[in-house]
Amino acid sequence: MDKTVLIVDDDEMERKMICDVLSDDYNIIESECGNDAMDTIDEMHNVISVIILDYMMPDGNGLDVLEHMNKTNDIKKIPVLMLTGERHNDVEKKCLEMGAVDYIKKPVEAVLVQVRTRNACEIFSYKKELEAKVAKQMDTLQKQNRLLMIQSERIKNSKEKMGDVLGSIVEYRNVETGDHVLRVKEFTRIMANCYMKTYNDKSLTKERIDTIVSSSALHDIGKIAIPDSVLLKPGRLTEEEYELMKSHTIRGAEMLESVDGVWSDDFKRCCSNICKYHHERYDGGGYPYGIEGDDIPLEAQLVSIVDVYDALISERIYKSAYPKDKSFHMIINGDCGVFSPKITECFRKSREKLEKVADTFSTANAAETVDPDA
Amino acid sequence: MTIQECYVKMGGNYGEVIRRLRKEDFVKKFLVKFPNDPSYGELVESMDKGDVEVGFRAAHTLKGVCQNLGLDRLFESSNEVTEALRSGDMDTAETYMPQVKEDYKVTIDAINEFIENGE
Repeated sequence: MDKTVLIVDDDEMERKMICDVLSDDYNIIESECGNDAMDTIDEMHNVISVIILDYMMPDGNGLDVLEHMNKTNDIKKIPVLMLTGERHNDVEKKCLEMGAVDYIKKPVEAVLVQVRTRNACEIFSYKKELEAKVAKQMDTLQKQNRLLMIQSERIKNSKEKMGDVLGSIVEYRNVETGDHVLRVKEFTRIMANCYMKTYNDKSLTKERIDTIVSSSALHDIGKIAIPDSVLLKPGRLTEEEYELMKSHTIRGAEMLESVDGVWSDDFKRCCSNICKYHHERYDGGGYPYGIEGDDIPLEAQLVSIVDVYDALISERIYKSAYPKDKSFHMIINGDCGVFSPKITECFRKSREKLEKVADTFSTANAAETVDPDA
Repeated sequence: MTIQECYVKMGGNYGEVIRRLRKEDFVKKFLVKFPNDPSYGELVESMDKGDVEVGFRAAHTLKGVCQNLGLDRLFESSNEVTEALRSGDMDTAETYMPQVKEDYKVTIDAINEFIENGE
């Protein structure tokens, strides 16, 4: 006998009758009032398979017990069969509403007591079995989900690293721009966060900003395709050479678009836009297409202003580094082409943070710099 | 005296009780315990004291025991008292008490006879 029945009834003879009817098949526990039953249920709820509960009792009636079991949630775990002889009110309805699974009418009828008890037991053990199975499957799913999250984070990190590596290849060829790629990434993050906050731009989610920042590392990837004689030429470029130099925008986009299966479509589109359009200007005065206004994707607008800023504050083969102060004003004054009013405003607001990053990167470890607003 | 004869004597319904409880031994086991059941004594005592609440519970239990054992005659009168006390009507309950007392005596006499001379 692995199942236990609790019989709650103040009428001793009735209680013993039910005991006798069930004692061949079940372990029996008896309670002679509601209050005692509640204590027993609290204590033994893991052991009791079914409760047979009289309705009218002194010291805690059947409804009190049901109410208590609703509070402790045992009503969902142990089936209750009400024992009712009441014909004068809606007792049965009330008990069923409070979670009793069935009722046994008085006077005691042996077969009915046996069958209803067995049914309640079977339904509940089937339910318990199903719940245990579902819980186990949930557990497995959660474990797998956690594993997937870890793996997806790893893949994301390695893609980010791959972008950085590709971006730095250009730096290695273009010997004078130390840490340019890392600075551009940090500058881009500062600008994107500022833009999102200032204009409450809902499209700039955290994920979107991460994508733009990672993509910004690759803005000059097309320079790989530019011959050293042009890329590293200290003097002024001829018109032909300048045209070749300008093609790094389109060549970069082509390279990225030709890579399949490594990056998500979002990332690829973002990278490609940044490569293609980061030399366009708001008034149409940029290259390669001379498009204007908000035809230039936001990601390209963000990268384009910080790319210029970094070029100004850094030493290049064709120029020495300008002080940060001067660089700031050159951009604000439109000396380096026209940027959108919104972008210019963000640049103005972010000045202090940008300068801080510039200082950090020119002196030490890039990876540890974090935008406090990010 | 057979158990059937006992039931006839006390105005019970043996056919109904054996249908419900299935085994004669089972019926006998509980029938012989009836004289020890305290509810009748509690009912009489609380009626004397005028205690409606305790009286109701005692009458309700007595009625239930009678129902379970198929003691129809005593069930009828104790049921009347139960319903009167349920609505708090002591006077009506009082009017049924002589009948309850008489029915109880008939029932107890029959059961005691069965205990002494039963088969």
